[in-house]
Amino acid sequence: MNAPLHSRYGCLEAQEDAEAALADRLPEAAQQRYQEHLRECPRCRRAHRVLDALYRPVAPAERSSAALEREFSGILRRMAATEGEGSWASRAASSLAIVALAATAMLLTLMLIPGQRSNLYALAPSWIEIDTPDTIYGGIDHPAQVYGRIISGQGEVVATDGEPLGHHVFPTETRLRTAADESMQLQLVGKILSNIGPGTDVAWTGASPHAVSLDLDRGLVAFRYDRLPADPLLNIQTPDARVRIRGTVFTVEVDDAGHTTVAVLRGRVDVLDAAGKRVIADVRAGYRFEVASQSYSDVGRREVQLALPLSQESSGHGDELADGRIPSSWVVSGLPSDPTQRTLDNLIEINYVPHPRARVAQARRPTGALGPDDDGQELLEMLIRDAESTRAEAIADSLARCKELHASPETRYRAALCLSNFIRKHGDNRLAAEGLLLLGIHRMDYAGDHQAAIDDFRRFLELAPDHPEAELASYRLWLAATEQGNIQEAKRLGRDYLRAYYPRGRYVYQIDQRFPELLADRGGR
Amino acid sequence: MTDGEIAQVLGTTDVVAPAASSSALASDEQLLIARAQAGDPRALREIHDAYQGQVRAHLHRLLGPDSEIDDLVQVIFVRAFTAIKRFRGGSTLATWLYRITANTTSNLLRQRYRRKRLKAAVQWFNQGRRAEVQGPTLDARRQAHSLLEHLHPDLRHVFVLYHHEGLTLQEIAEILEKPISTIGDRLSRARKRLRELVESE
Repeated sequence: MNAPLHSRYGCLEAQEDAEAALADRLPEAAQQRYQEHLRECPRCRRAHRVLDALYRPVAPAERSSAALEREFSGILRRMAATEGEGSWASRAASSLAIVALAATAMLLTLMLIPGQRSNLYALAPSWIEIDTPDTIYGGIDHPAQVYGRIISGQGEVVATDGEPLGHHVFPTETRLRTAADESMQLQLVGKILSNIGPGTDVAWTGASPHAVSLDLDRGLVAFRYDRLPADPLLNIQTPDARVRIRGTVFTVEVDDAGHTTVAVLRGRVDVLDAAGKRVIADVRAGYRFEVASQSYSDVGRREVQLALPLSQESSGHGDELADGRIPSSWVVSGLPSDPTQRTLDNLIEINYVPHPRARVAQARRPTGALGPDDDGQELLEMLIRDAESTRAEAIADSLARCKELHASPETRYRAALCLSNFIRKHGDNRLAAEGLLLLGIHRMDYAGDHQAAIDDFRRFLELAPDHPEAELASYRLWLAATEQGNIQEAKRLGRDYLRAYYPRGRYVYQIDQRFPELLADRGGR
Repeated sequence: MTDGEIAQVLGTTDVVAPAASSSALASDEQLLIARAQAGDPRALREIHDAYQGQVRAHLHRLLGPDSEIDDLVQVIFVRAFTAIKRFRGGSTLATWLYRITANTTSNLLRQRYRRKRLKAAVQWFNQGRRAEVQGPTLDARRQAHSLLEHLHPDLRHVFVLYHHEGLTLQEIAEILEKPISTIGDRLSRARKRLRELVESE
C-alpha cells in the first residue's frame, strides 16, 4: 500500500509537510517519506535548510561580565542624562524645534543634491558602542601567563613551603602576608588586580585555564576581575566558605576566628560551603554577606576604601583611569549618583557588630618584609628623581604633581590619570618621554590595560631609544605582551631583550623564568 | 508627546489596570519591582541581570546580527527603568519588557522594511535587465535572516515571539495589545508568506 503512496510524494507534498517535519509533528511513516524526498531533491533540501534556520532561533553570543557591567553603567548614565534634560514640556518644545530644523535641512539638501532618492530610506547612522574587550577572548593559554606580580606596597612573600622569594614576580604556591601597618597590591595572571589589606595571610594555590585559586586564612582582600569569556573562574577558599567569582569587584575578609565576610561592589559572587558543594548565598552588588550568621548588610566604608585602588571606571567609550572617586558602576548604599559626590568622605562609616564567635583581629608582624624589588618602586622613584634634573622646568613641574600622587601608596593608583593628562599636554616632547614609560607601567598595573601599555612603551622607545631606562621599557613591553597572552609576540620581544641586554640585563632572570627556551636558544644554560 | 503616547511607547498603559491584576507577578518579582520603584539601584541591576539576555536574544532574532543591538538594549532598559514607577504589575516583567522591545523596535523595523522593499524592487529591475548575472549564494542562516527582513514588521513580531521566544498566542496578544484572533491571523500569514519566500528563492 505504501509504494503507490510513496511514488506520489513530490515537491508539493514535501512543502506542505515541511513545517510539521521541522516541529517533529509528522507521523513516522510520513517523516520517512519526507526525508527520502529530501535526499532525492536538492531544491527541497535547500528549502528545508532555510526553513530550519527560520524556525530554529539562534542565541547571540554570551556577553562577558565586564561587558554587562559597562552596559549597566551606560544605562545609568543615560538615565541620569534623561533626568537632567528637564521637563517633558521643555523637552517636547526642544524636540519640535529640532525636528523642524532637521526637516528644513533635509528638504534643502534634497533640493540641492541630485542623486539616488533611495537614500531617503537609509537609516541615520546610529551611535555604535565599540566593545573592544569582548573582541579579545582572554583565557590562559601558556604557562608563561601563570605568574603573579607585586605592584606596590610592603609585605612578606614566601613559597608555601616557607622558602622566602626574592623577586617581585612569583609563581603559584606562594603565600603573601602583610603586617598590621602594611598593605600590598598585586596582579595575578595579568588579569586579576588585588589589594591585600593590613594583617592578611593569603596563599595563591593554583591557576589553570579553568580556575585561579586562593586560600585566605586571615584578613581582608579586595579584588577586581574584569573577566572575559574564556578567562578562568576565581575561587577563594576560606576556613568556612568558598567564594566563586565570574568577574566583579569585591572584597573577602576572614577574621581571627576564621569567619568569612564577602562584600560585592560590582557584579555578583557565589558563596559556597567550605567543601564547595552547596551554594549558600548569591551576593549581589551593594551587599555584604557574613557567612557565620548568614546575614546581609550594606557594603561599608572599609571595603570601599580597600577596593578604591582598583577603581578604574568603565565608560561606554572605553576605560577611564581612576581618579579617586567611587565609580558609578559600584553599588554603594547612601552615595549620591552625582559623580563629583562619590567620594570616601561622603560615605558613612558603619560599625558592624562582630559575630559572637569572632575575636578581634590581632595582626601579626611577619618577619623578613619584602617590597617590590625590580622596576616597581625603586626604579620608578629613580626615574622620577632623574627626570627632575633633566627636564625643562615646566615639564618637571607637571611630572612632579604626578609624582606626589605616586609617592603615597594610598594615592598611587591615581597617578595614572595624572600621567595621562601630562602626556596629553607634553606627549610630543622628547623630555616628556619618561612620563610615557610611567604611564604605561601604571596602565598595565592598575588598569590591566596591556594594549595601551604596549603602545606607551613603544612610543617611549621610539622617542628615546637611548634613554637610561630603555631597558626597563623593553622588559615591560615583553611583560605586557606575556600577560596579555600574546605569546608569539612575547617570545619575539623576549629575544629582542636578550639580544640587547644578555647576559648583564636586570631582567634576564624574569624572562628565563617564563620562557626558559629563549635563554637555551642563546646557549645561556 | 502626550502622556498617552509616552505610555504607549513604554508599554505602561497598565498604569490604569486594577490592583487585582497584580496577581500576574510572583511574590519575588513583586518585591523586586517594589524595591526598584523605591529607587534601590540594586534592584535595577537585578532586573538588568535577569532580563538582559531575554531582551538581547529577542532583538537578535528580530533584527539579525546587528551592530545596533547593544545600543538598543540600553535604550530599552533606560525606558523601562524610567517608567518603572508607573508599572502596576498588570503583566510579568518579562511580558512588559517584550512590550517595550516591540514598541521600541517598531519604527526601526518599519523603516528597514520599506528600505528592503525598495532595494528588492531595484534588484528585481536590474536582474530583469541582466538576467545572466547571479547573486551570491547565502548560507541558510543568513538567508533566513534575509527572508525575515522581507516579512512585514507586524507579522515578524508575531512570528518571532511565537516560534523563537516560545510564547503563547495569549501572551503575544498581551504584549502587542491586539485581540488574540488578530495574532492568530498574523501568525498564519507570516508562515504562509515565509513559505512563499522560501519557495521563490
